[in-house]
Amino acid sequence: MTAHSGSILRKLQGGFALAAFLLAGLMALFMDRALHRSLEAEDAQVMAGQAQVLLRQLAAGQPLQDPEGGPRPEKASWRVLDATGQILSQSRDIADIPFLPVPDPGRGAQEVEAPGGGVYSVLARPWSCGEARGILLLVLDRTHEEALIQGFRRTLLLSVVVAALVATLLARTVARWGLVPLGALIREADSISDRSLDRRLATANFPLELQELVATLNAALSRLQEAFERVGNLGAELAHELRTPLQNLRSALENRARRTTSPVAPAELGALIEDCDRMAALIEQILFLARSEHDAPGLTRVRIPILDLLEEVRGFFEAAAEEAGVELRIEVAPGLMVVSDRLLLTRALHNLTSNALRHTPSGGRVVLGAQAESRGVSLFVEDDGPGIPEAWVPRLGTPFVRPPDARSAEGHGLGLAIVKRIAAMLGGEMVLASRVGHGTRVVLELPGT
Amino acid sequence: MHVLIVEDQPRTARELRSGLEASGLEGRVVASAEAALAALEAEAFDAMVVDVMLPGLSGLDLVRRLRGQGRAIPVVFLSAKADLQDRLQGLEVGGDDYLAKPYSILEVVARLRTITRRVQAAPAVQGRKVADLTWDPHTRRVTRSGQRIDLTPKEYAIMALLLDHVGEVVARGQMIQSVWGMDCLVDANAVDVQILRLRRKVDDPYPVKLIHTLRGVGLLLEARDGA
Repeated sequence: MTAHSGSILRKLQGGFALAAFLLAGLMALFMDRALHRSLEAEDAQVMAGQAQVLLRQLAAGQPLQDPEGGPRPEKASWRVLDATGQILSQSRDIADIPFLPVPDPGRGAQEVEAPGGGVYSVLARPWSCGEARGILLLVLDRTHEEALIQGFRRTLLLSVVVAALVATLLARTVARWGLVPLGALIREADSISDRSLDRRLATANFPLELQELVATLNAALSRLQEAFERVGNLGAELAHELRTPLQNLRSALENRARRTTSPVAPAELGALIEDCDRMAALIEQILFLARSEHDAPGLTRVRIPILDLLEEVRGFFEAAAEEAGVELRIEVAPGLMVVSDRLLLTRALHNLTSNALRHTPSGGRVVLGAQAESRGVSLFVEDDGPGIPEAWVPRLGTPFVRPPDARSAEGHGLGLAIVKRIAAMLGGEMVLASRVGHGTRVVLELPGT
Repeated sequence: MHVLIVEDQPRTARELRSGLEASGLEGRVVASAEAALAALEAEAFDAMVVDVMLPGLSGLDLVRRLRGQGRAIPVVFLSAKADLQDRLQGLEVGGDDYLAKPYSILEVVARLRTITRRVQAAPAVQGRKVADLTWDPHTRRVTRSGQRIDLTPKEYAIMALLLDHVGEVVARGQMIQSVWGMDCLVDANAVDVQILRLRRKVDDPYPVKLIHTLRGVGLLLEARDGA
């Protein structure tokens, strides 16, 4: 994994830059060598020609003359030595040249760096005229050439650096341009949500190199869609399979209850109908909880005045609370709003209020309330009932989990699980706090917007 | 009222028709959307009850097609799918109402009466007298034996609904919908308590009981035994 991580863009850019640097460097090296060699060859040629002329003159015993007015401005200075190394004659300009060691006369021109600076090409050739022998020394000042080469090298180095920089910048652009389809692929793949799993990426829209990836992604999407559909359909199938016979049962009971003339039978039939309805409610609750996130119905978020919402809930439970001798109070700052799904919130508050009333003895109090929080709004339902043993608190909200003493009461332990699920669906959280002997407080912490 | 029932489950359809007939409605059953289209060509119906899940053309497709043809016949959808989304979809294609299974047949009847009334003209609300009970919808006054009964707004809403349907069973779901504006997924106990309290005010002090419960079915207001 780590071996392949990092930025493709940076890798491409680095690669481009390195390649450009190496290429430009190699070219510079080659050009430098070529220039050097061609200058050397030219010098050697000049010196060899001049040596030939001078040697011929020496052999003929003629006095040596500077060959002047030649086509080339380059001209070597010369010095004639006898066998003992005494200077016999020399060109005028050689006086300016520092003393240089005499190279082996059998070899070609040697490059010598003078101790005082300056580069020279030195060629030594044996000469003879009758009995006389000695060495002819030719010296060519190459200081200017060296300076030229140095300057050229600097230019080359600069071009290499510039080339590498330009290549790096260019590489960035080119690499970005090359990666554009990848970005498009990411955006397109990103736009496919669990609600649009039937969509596929269009292979034709992407370059050759990405088509295999696109095909792989599409295959993965197909498998995902299939799996989602299997799960989603299971819920719908289950709903249909369970509700259809229940419907038949309910209709048959209802028709008989209305048709019968016996005053006792309708009550019995009615109890059975109520069982049907309880079963239907149970099915609905289980399906609500069993639904996968992908299958969950869409939310309708609206601005809700919380006081209004709580009044509505209280209105529904008012009679039940009065009958139970429980005070049902609202505690909320007027004008407090929440942006949420009204139906789901109502359902959650109904479940919580129903629980609270069921567990609060006569003379008790249930508070429906809300307060603004730093990051949203929290709605709560609080009772001063007997409370829930601490050990049970973390487990509440799990389907079918109820404290042992609550078993006798009606309910399946689904109410809180549904509240918890609703809180999650609304982007919030359910927090339950309880103290035995003091009561229970369930808070729906909802996001602000 | 002549009602076309489009339902592919034979037992469900049979019970529904029998229930509608018990309420004085006339029903004809077809098992598919295609058969429904043919039946509508051949006969005149006042309303339709359409199951959403049908073999072949779905109930939604059927109603969409009917609305496309400009047919305004009132439609109640019946479906095993009960989500808000499903309901909205049913109303979007042109359904007038949507009931989730398991429904109460009485409620289907009530919804049918409501939507056909909506299509025709709403009758003027008139005062009523049942035994020694009187109701004046304009002053919102309910009396028994000449004594005014103090009702909370919720109690009055239930009373008005029952008085609007004297002698007819008002389905529980219909009442919850009408009084609280909610579907049936509500605390049953809270509803029962509300009815209990209403009865305590309207019936308990008087020898003749007027509000009758059909357990599991609904409520009925009538004077029995010729009282």
